[in-house]
Amino acid sequence: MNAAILYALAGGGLFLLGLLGLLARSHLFWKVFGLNFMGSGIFLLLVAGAPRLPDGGADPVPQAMVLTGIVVAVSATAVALGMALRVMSRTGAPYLSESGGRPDSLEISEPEEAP
Amino acid sequence: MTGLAWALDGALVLLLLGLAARVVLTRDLFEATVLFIGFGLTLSLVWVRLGAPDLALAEAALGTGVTGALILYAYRRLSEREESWGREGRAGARRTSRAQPAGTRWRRRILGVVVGTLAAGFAVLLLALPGRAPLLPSSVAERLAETGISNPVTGVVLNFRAYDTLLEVAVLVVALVAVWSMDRGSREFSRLEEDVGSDRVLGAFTRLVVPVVGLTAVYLVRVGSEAPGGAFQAGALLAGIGVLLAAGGILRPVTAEDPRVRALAVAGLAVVILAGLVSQAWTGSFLAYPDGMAPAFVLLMEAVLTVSIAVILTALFVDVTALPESEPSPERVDPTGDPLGRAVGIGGARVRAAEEGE
Repeated sequence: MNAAILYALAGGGLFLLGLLGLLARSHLFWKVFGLNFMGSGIFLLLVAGAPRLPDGGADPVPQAMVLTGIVVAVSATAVALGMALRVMSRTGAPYLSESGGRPDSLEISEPEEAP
Repeated sequence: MTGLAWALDGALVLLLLGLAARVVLTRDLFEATVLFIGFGLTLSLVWVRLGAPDLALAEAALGTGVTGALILYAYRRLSEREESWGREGRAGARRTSRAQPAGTRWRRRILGVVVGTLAAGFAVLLLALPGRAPLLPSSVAERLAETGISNPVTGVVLNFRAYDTLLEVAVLVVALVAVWSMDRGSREFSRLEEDVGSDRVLGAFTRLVVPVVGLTAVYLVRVGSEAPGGAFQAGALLAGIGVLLAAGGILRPVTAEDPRVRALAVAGLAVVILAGLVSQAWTGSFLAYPDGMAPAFVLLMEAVLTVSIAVILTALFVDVTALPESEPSPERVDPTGDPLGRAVGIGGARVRAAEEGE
C-alpha cells in the first residue's frame, strides 16, 4: 500500500460525491459541479490507480489520457453552463421543469400538491 | 520524512474530499463556486504529489482558472436574475423544517444505500488490485527514443495516441459550435461591462501578467517535447490571458459571424488532419510520422494547436457568459424570420412569433 492507492481511493470517493450531487441536487449548477467531481474522480483513479513507474513517477499513458480529459471537461462544462443559462432565460428558473421549478429534492421537500 | 509525506498526502486527500462534500451539500451558490475553485487548486497539488506536472499545469490553468471564471460569471448572471436563487441559504433553511413527504425520504435512503454500496465496492476493488509491474510505461520508454521526443506525455499525446488529440480538438470545435448555436443567432450579445480603463487594479494586473504568461506559454510549447509542457498546457495558459482580457473588457464577445475566430478555431483540427493525410501518403498509415520527422511534425502541430485551443477556450468563456438574457424576438434574430429556416416564408417571422405566443 502506498500513497497512490490513497489517492485512488480518494478518486473513488470523489466520483461518488459527484454522483450524489448530480442525483440529489436539482439546481442545474450543482449538477454541473457534480459532473465535474465525477470527472475529476475518474482522472484520479486513472492516474493514481495505474501501476507506478520504478522511479516513482506516474504512468505517461493515463497521464496523456487525463490531459485530454481535462480539456474536454472544461469545454463540456462551458456547454453545460451555457445550457443552464438558456434554461434560466427561457423558464426563469435554474431547474429542470421536472422538479417543478423548485429547489431541491435533497434538503427541501418536493413540490407540494395544491391544497 | 516518510511520515511527513504521509501526513501531507493525508491532509491533501481530506481537503479534497472535504471541499467536494461541502460544495455538494451547501445551499449557497457563491460558497459552492468559491470552494469549487479551491478544489481545483487542491487537485493540481495532488497531481504534483502523483508526479504528473503536466496535469498540474493543465488543472491549475483550466480546471481552476477557466472553469472557475466561467462559473463565477454564470453565478453573477444567476444572482442578478434572481437574488434568491443565487443565495438559497436562508430561504431554503426555513423551508427545510417543514415535514417532508415520504417519497422524498425513501428516495434519499435508496440513494444513500446505492452510493454507500458503490463506495464499498470501489474500495474493495482498488485494494484488491494485483500489484503488477507496469506494462505500458516500459513499451513507451522503449519506443520513445526512436521518436526524438523525450517527454513521454507529449510523445503519447501527439505521437503514439495522436488519434486522441485529433478527436479532442474535434470535441472542442463541437463545443464551440454548440455554444454559438445557443445564442439562437442573436447578432447582438450582451456585453461584459467592466472596462479596463476604469479599473486601475485590473488594468495594472493585466499589463503585468499578459506578457509574462504569454512568454511562459511560448516556452511551454518549445520545451514540450523534452520537459513538462506542450500544446494543451500552453493553450490553457493563453486561454487564461483571453479570460483576463475579456474580464477587463478588452476582448468583446464574438458571434459565429467573425471569420477570423472561425478560422483560428478550426486551425488545430485542420493541422492534425493535414498531418494525418501527409503521413498517410508518406508512410502509408494515418498519423504515423516518417522516420526522424516526428519532432518537426509534433512541434508544428503543437504550435497551431496551442493557438487554436486558446481561441476556442476563450471564445467558450466569452460567449457563454454573454449569452442573451432573454429570448431574442424573431425579428431581431433575423429580418427574414427564423435563422434556422423553420418558419421562413411569406410572413415567416410573424408565423413563428404567433406560434410562440400560444
